[in-house]
Amino acid sequence: MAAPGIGGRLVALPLAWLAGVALQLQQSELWLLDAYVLVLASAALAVEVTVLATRALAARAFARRAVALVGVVGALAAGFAASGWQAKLRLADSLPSALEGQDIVVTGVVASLPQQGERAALPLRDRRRRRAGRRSAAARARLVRRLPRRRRAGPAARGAARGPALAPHGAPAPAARQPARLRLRARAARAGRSRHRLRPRRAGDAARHGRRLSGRATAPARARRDLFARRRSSRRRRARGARDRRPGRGSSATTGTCSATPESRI
Amino acid sequence: MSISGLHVTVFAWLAGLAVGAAWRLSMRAMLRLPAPTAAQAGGLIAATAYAFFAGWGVPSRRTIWMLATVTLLRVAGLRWPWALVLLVAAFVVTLFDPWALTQPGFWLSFMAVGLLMASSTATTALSDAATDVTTGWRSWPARFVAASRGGLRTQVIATPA
Repeated sequence: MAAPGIGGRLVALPLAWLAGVALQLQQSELWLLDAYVLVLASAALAVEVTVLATRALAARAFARRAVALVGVVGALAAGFAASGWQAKLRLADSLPSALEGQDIVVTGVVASLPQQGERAALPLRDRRRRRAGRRSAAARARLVRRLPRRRRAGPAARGAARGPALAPHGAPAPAARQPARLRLRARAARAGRSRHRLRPRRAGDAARHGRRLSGRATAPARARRDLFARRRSSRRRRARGARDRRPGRGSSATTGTCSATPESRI
Repeated sequence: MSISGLHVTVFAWLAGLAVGAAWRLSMRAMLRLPAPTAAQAGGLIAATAYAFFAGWGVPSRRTIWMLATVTLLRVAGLRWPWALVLLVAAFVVTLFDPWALTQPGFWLSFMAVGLLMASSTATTALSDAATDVTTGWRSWPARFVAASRGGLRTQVIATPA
């Protein structure tokens, strides 16, 4: 068990370390990595000398104080250098600031992608096709007939009709999902822009093509406006189509459009 | 859910109690390793696992380093002054995460623990004196009063900190 006096004197060493760390955190620019390593080695040497000399010079009070001072300075330098070294290593992972705002081309290999399996989440079309694959041809035809008239030519009907074309559970994944070398275009992150912004149109396209997008999909105000505008225009298109299908209304719509030209207004 | 250092410490305490109680059931285990040492080590291991499951956030990490420092000192049989124990814990925390110094939580938690440690010596002596007067079931009221006083003291100190 250590004597209480020794413990009390040791308080200076962690205090000096903390002071060194606090001092390094005030640095506006980091030094070279070698400089931190050099300071750290010198500090370790100073602390080692302190430990050895404290035992040798136990009788001389003045020498003991001088050696303790060396130890305190060594601990301060060690705290400074260790935190600077960590900061340098942490910042080594980032891209150089010269690339800010420029387009860079990144070439990489997609090591693995989600595979189709018993418990894997499949796109909607694949699920429909898989369900339809377990049914007979007559049942699949009934499934297509059960769809609303305007959806019989859509992807849902195609998926239901082409059931057996999909690979069964546990079969090898399609070639398109094997590891592949891709060429990507990346843009450096800019302030004020969300990194994971995903437009609803792109997400919808990806879902239709059976791809899964990772990341957080936020709906910024502009994307929401676009979505509402698309829904509005789609509703209008449907309403116009229904109006046009009524007898005697097909040509009047065209006439109405023509009547809105400046010449006709004059 | 936010996992703070308090949760990790309480979990370590409960796990230490459980490990110590289980350890005392086996004579062979106690001959191999004393029950208090096993309880401290078990509590630390359980708290580390809990902090990992909680996402290994900064407050949980800091608590684990502090618990590890105190456990190592106790296992080594060292009885350092409380200020030195606290400073060594701060040294270990900043050794792995120097940027912890810039967080208010670091200073608040260390100040709270320091105040609790500084005020514990006098009140521990008082409560020991109160409970030593009587033994057996007659000491329960005195123990209850001492525990209540300790809890109240902890709350009074921790609230402003």
